[in-house]
Amino acid sequence: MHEFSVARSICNIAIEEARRHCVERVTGICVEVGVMRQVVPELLRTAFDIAAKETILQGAKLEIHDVPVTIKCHDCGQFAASATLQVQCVHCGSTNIEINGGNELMVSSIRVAEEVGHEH
Amino acid sequence: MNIEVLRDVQESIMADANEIRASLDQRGIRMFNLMGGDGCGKTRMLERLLPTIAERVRCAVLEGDITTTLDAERISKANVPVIQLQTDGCCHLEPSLIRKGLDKLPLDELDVIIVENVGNLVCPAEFDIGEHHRIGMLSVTEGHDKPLKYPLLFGQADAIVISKMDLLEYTNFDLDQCTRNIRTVNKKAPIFEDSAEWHFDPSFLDWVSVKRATCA
Ligand SMILES: Nc1nc2c(ncn2[C@@H]2O[C@H](COP(=O)(O)OP(=O)(O)O)[C@@H](O)[C@H]2O)c(=O)[nH]1
Ligand SMILES: [Mg+2]
Ligand SMILES: [Zn+2]
Repeated sequence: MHEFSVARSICNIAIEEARRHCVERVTGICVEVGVMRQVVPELLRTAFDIAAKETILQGAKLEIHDVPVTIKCHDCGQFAASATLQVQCVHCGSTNIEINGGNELMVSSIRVAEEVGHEH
Repeated sequence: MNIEVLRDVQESIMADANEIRASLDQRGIRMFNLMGGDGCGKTRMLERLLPTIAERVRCAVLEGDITTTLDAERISKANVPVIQLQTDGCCHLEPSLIRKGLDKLPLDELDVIIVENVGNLVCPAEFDIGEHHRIGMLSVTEGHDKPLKYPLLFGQADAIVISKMDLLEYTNFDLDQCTRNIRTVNKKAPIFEDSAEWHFDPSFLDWVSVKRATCA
């Protein structure tokens, strides 16, 4: 249930960015979430809705983009990207694989209704 | 319209964790983050470890039990400072709580601090608490597939302890398969086998008690 902590951090960042751009209302937030982070999207959305209440983020849509892991096979030498955790090479079935990446957890952008003025 | 942000969600937690690490560095203290499932034997290992390494390093424990003080009471018998961190039902530890614990410890008299994280294979692994080393613990009764199911915890561990080895013969735990599974997610962490009925692997004791150079 660390989704609540993650949601709180997302809100803090989004509110800070909105303020920095003198924005009154945020309508959407894009986050990149690596497969390895074990974040449950539904839980994160629920947690976000709660954390966003009575802030300029209330009602904003949380867009969650999954970032895949890269799997390198030590037997056949091929690579594969996967949106879920794999225990086997998708090409040859070997379990002698190496898993890389998928550790992203980032607010990539916010969407706002109004035109944005200059930064302070 | 869209405003590009590109900020790490954990940035403020990472900044807090880095600050804690820097202040420990200044005092030459090494902090360990002990993580594993509930009941895998973290507290039991600490009860045995603390008296064993007492001659080599000055040690303290931060105990991250969710609500009770039971584990802290068990550890305090080992005669080292132990501070209970009340997470109030939270599933993991964060730097803010660690700092409160550190404030209560006699830092000038310590070489090593071991934090027993909340028993959970998912959430604790997500949070840097300012530690220098992560220890991932897995008991043989949990099954050899767990490194693959919880790749973040076992992938980021600097050492992995396979515990309750005395129970190996009563389970279908496959030690070789477990090692291969660990290596799938973690290429280099040393793997130590342990049991409450055994003496510690000397190389594990060495790994824990290496002193940290003070940053002058
Ligand atoms: N057979 C056996 N039991 C163990 C071992 N280590 C711990 N236990 C038992 O497993 C239970 C949970 O241990 P505990 O240290 O409280 O686990 P924690 O939740 O990870 O702190 C206790 O009843 C321990 O006595 C071991 O090496 N062998
Ligand atoms: Mg315990
Ligand atoms: Zn292959």
